[in-house]
Amino acid sequence: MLLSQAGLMGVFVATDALLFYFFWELALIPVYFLCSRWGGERRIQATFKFFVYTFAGSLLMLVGIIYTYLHTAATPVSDHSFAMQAFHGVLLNPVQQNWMFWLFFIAFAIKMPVFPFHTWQPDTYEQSPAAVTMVLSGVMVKMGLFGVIRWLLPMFPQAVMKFDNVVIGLSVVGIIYASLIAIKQDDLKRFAAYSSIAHIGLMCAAIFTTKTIALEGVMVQLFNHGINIIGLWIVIELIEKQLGVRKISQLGGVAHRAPVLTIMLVVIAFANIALPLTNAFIGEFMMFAGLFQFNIWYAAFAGFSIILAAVYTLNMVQKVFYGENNDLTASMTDISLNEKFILSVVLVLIFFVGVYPQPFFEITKDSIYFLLTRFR
Amino acid sequence: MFGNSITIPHLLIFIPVLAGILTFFIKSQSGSKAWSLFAAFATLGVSVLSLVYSKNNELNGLTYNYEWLKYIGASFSVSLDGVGRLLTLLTAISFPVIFIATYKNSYKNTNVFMA
Repeated sequence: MLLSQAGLMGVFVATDALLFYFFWELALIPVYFLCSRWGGERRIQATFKFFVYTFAGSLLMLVGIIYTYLHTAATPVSDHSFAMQAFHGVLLNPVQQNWMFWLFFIAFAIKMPVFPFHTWQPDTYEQSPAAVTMVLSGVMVKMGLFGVIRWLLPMFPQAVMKFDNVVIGLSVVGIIYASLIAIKQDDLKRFAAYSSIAHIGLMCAAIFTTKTIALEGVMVQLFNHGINIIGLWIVIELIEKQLGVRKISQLGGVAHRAPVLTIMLVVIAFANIALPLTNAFIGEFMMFAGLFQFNIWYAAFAGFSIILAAVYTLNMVQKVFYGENNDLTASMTDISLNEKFILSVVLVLIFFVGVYPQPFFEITKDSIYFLLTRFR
Repeated sequence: MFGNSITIPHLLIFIPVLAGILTFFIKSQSGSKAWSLFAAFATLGVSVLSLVYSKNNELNGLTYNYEWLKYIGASFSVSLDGVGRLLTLLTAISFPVIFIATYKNSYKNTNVFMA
């Protein structure tokens, strides 16, 4: 776990392409072992799928890094450079940019994941130990979005503008597809996985609009999605630990036995559907505004996901927490002091960013300004 | 406080690395969990410190460059810009929250899991 945290930190601070790749792998490799050794009954198949997808993505990125490196300018001591500035300033013709764009984009798209590169995610989330699932969904999926922002957009601006409709189209399809599947899910872990795919799809679409307001929304939403999804996983873990099941159809009436847990979950659910005063509201509002500026139809279709998110989230809350107790949930007890404390931390962050997101915009405004200079 | 030799990005990377390596040698389940939690909080402290640094515009402690493999143009080059700061903060907050939320879970070879 700690080595994976080091890898994640490295990915977010590396300004050298080779170092970025090194940390990218350092973050992923421990997860293979954590899933395959401490995961559920079908952990081997799930880990194999996760490994094949992410390893294929990593290889494509490595090919892209080597090709781009060989086209960077010479430095006083070397023929080429892995420095981020050299990669951002690399001169490639449009055809070369197009190829490199897809090599890097597929690697990042698998990690996010966006449709149609998402199929590893529900299986891996379902079979991983709870702590690993939280790291994967809360933080590790941000590596893909971060890769697009830090590396892909500044390196290949012409290709980004050429393929923006393709990527946004895929993302919007993914948002609706994942939301519809989330509505039909009976497994809480798979429910959270598809909900996450829908939210990440919106962030990916917003990035490729290259509009200032959308990117500002993405920045704050990168943080908020992590907090909200970890909160949701904590609640799912608490239910599974107590009752030994996570099938929605086997649950019901949890609110009668665990009112504090229910209150906490309802707040997290409201954040998941981006209600005002919760952290996700401002980010989603800005992302939709950016999509609207880019193309009103994309905004309309993606906006449909707000309704779908309310349907699948409130449906889950209704079925799991309200209604009558059954034999299984009648034995449930409310959460302990330790569990109340940790969910309270999540709730404080939800309301703090929901009411006062300005510090987050201040932190990222220079990065957005730099990024968008490539598109002016 | 920070100069050219030890910067905040260094600490964000190497506190978990060193803590992870040490965790391999802590055989007790409670000991390895407590140590990992302590390391996660230490990393969170450094991440919060990076926000204070950015407010004071002291960029000296936020970037570092060392010519790692200079003949192929690769360097150990790290920097905390706005996006990086936000995502390192998310990572730094997430790990203590996850460790506390799953503190009661028991694992075979807990020290290896936490490392």
